[in-house]
Amino acid sequence: MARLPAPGSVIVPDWHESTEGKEHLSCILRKNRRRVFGLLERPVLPPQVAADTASYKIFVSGKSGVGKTALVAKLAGLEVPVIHHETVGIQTTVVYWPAKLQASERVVIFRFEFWDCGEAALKKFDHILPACKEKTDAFLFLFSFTDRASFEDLPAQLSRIAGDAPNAVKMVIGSKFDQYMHTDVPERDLTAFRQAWELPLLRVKSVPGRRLADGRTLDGRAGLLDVAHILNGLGEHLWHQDQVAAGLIPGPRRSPQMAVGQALDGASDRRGSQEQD
Amino acid sequence: MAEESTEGAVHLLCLTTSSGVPLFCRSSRGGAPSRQQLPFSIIGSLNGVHMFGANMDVTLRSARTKDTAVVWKTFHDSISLIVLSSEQGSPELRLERLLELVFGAMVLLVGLEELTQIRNVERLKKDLRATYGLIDSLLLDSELMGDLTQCVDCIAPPDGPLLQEALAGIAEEMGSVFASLVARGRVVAATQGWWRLGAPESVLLPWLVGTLPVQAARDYPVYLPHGSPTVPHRLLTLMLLPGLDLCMLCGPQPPLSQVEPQVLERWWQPVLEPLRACLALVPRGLPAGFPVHPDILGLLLLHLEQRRGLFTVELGGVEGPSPRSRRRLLRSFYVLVTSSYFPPGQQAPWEGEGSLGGPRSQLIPFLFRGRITGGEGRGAGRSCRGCQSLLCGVRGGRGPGGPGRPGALLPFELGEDGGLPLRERGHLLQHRGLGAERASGQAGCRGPGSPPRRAAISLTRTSVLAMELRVRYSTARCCSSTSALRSWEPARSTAWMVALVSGNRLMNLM
Ligand SMILES: Nc1nc2c(ncn2[C@@H]2O[C@H](COP(=O)(O)OP(=O)(O)OP(=O)(O)O)[C@@H](O)[C@H]2O)c(=O)[nH]1
Ligand SMILES: [Mg+2]
Repeated sequence: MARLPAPGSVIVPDWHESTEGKEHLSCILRKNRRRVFGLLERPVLPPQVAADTASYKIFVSGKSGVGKTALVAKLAGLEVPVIHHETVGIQTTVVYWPAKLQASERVVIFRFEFWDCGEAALKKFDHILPACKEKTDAFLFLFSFTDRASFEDLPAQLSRIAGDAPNAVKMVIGSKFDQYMHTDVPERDLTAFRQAWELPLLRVKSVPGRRLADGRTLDGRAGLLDVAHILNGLGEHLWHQDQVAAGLIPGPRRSPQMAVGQALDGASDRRGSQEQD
Repeated sequence: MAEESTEGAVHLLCLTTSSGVPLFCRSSRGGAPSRQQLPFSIIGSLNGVHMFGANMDVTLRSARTKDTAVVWKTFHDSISLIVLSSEQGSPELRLERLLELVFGAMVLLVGLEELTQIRNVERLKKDLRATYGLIDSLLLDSELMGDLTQCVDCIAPPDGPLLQEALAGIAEEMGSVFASLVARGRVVAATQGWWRLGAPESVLLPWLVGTLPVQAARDYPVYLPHGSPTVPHRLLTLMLLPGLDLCMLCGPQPPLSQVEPQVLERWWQPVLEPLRACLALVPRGLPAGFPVHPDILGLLLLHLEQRRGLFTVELGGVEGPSPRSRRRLLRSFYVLVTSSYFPPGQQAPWEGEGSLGGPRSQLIPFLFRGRITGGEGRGAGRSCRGCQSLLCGVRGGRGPGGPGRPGALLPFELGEDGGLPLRERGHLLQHRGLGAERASGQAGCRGPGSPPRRAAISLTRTSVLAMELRVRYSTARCCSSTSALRSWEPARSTAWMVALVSGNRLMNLM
């Protein structure tokens, strides 16, 4: 097992609340709302603070109803579905997230492409799972705190879904943490699971965040604060994994195809320099 | 009047035909989702009465109570759909179309085989959950009209050919024959193959894309209810700009990952401005340079041969009812006209005798702010003061008053609130064809039990004007005194047409 980066060792944790961080966040906001980017668009920073973009594909996996679609919507600052509508196929969502690296003190804009697929569709159609797994950089395994079966299914999921992707980042996410009062998954089970699997584990509540004065629109900044720890956690593990893969830091799961020292700080293949208007 | 009391509820029930097991039940109230469930006993008796009829070789199609209409429909002897609606202006025709579309939506996402060869009801119930999103959207208020008209909702972009070229290019590169650009549920441009899609998928696919929450890309398995009900295709959608999706129907290839941002940029970056212009066009639907009389609040244009439609209630005027009520009005008006006067498969009344050599049929529903204008001839179009009611009308190109007449106008009087029940006020059009009746002077609102005072009026130009004297409107002038309001002549084979203003130019745009 690769050593996991300690939380906050790769990305400056509360940077998004600093003056500099807030300035950068404004590129993913518009009038206090989260900005939605089309595939032809990207966030634009003023030239003096321009930053590189690092793109990753992330596959969100878990039983039907655990909250995959809700989590992705929450991360993207969109309305969280209150009624469960099964996702009928694959859907992807792009989330941009500026973050500051501890080591180089550089700002990077992460471009996370979340691949969300309804469990029923995944079981029914053969082409879906391979498409989701293809060249994915990370797997998020969701279980719900209110659904014991979804937790017990994790080991099977891990081997079934990510068994043949040893180099990808794997994270476990406990959803519906706001319902912890009614949880079927006690803390001691979580502790045991972590010891056995050595995987990072996050708890999330994908519930609608604060709204703006009009009472309807979601407050973009408040929504970002709700999910900053998840986006930072994800970025941290992905960046770390890239460094390991590039041989810049030791890790037993070095990818054989990737030439060592190919780039000075790794991950050069994912970086597109920022476009300017 | 409180909003709630005027807004009815719609309940949709789905059961297996053979055993009457409920598969799902969806509801809406006042155009918004509702979790209200019908009691099981009601579901049971609604299905029971239909089955009872079926056993006696009687097909029960619809029923009406004081405030609710019920329509039954069975599909492939396997699935029964029942809809109950207490919404105003929902005659059976509207509800039947709704059921057909709902069944289409079920096939689209589940496939026909699963619906006709039911082996495991619990399994089917579970699979049908995937259709709730799309089905709910059909029960709610929509900005689109395709659910009713069975025509594809379109907009007319100013740079159509440029977009068409890029679309054809990327479709070829991706190996798809079926590609389209969809702006908030309306088709902006499409390949020949896409236009050849039959109903209902031609309507359902853009509808689906327009009602789904924002996603950068999608790869959904879909069955085409008309074209391929048992073999799934893949619907790929790529959000070029928020609200604007590139849609493609594909087989197993290419994988979604192959439609990379670089490929999209190569084809679409050069036409980024025209793409943005499409989005700006959405509520209005027509390019800015296209003149429409300021009093016209909404219009619906259908090309029945190509099965494309243009529906807009945001032409610029801010006075009058809200866009939502305008939409509801035009919808109810369309329903009224189609179900009462031109049921599917029948000729428009002015298409029949005497149409040889005369002007071809045209029918123009419209909704606009009424103005009193002075009579015919030179003084026409002069505004008078004091009248702000709404008018909704059908303009018939071939006057039923006889050959050579310029056309008839059938005004419907609508309240300023816009929310009135057309069903009740539409008495002007009570007689099929050439007659019209008008209810009492109080705008035709009759309470139950009090029969309306009726005065038959023959729908010729003169009689329209005569009527105007009574209701103090001159709708005809609003229409024909504006240069923009030229008429559009559809091909004769078309059963009937709905259009307004400069039809030829509009048609060229579409
Ligand atoms: N309270 C609470 N509810 C949640 C949370 N996450 C999801 N839900 C609810 O759980 C239901 C199912 O969530 P979805 O995100 O649609 O489930 P999914 O995993 O995408 O399911 P499939 O698409 O069928 O595979 C929805 O009604 C959500 O509102 C959460 O963190 N807290
Ligand atoms: Mg989902």
